[in-house]
Amino acid sequence: MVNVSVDLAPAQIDFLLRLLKGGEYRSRSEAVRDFIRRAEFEWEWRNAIEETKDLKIDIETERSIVSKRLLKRFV
Amino acid sequence: MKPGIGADTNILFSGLYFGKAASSIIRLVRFKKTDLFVSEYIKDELLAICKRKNLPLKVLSIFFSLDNVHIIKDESYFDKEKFKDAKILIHDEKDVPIYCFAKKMFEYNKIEYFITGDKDLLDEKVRNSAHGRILSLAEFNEIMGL
Repeated sequence: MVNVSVDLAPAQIDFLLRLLKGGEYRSRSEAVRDFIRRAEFEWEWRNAIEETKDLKIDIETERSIVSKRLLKRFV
Repeated sequence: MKPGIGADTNILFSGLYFGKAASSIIRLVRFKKTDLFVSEYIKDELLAICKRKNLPLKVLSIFFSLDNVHIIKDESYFDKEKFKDAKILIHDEKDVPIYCFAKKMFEYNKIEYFITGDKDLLDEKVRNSAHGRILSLAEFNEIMGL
C-alpha cells in the first residue's frame, strides 16, 4: 500500500463521512479504495464495449463448446 | 442482508462486453445497489468464452473482485440427486448446474431473482418450479423500473 494525500472539497468530505455513518465502510481509506476500484471497473468496462462493438458472437454456441469440459466437474 | 440477484452467463457476457439492455444489471452492481451471486461454473464459463474469443479480461477480473459480487463454490450447490432430477426438467445439460445454483440461492434467500436469456430456463415449467423468480432481462428491467 502507498499512502497518498488528496485534497478534498468540504462537500466531498461530508459525503465520505455520510458513507461511513451508513456502516458500509470501516474507514475513509476503505471507502476511497472501493471508489477507485469501481472507477477502474467503469474504465475497463467502457474499453471492453468499445473493443467489441463490431464483433458478433453467438453466446449459446460458445457456451456449448466450453461447457463440455466444465461439466466434468459435476460427475 | 437484503436478497441480491443472480445472473446467467449470457446476461453477464452481454452486459460486460456489449452494454445494451443487460448493462442495467452491471450498473446496479457497479453502483452497489444490489449484491450479485454467481456460481464458479458461470464465472468459469464466461472466462473460457472470453479467452477463446480473445476478449479483454481485465474487465472481468475487476468485476469479480468487487465486494458485492459473490462467487459461490460449485461444491456448495452440487447434489447428484438434484442434478439428476433437474435433467428431467431442463433440456440442455449445460443449463442444469445453472438451474441448480439458482434454486439453491433461492432456498438460502440469497437472491430474489435469477436473470437469464436462456430459453430453456425461461420455459414455463422451469419458471414454475422456481416460483416465477427466474426472469428474462426485459421482465427484470420492468420490475425494477430500469
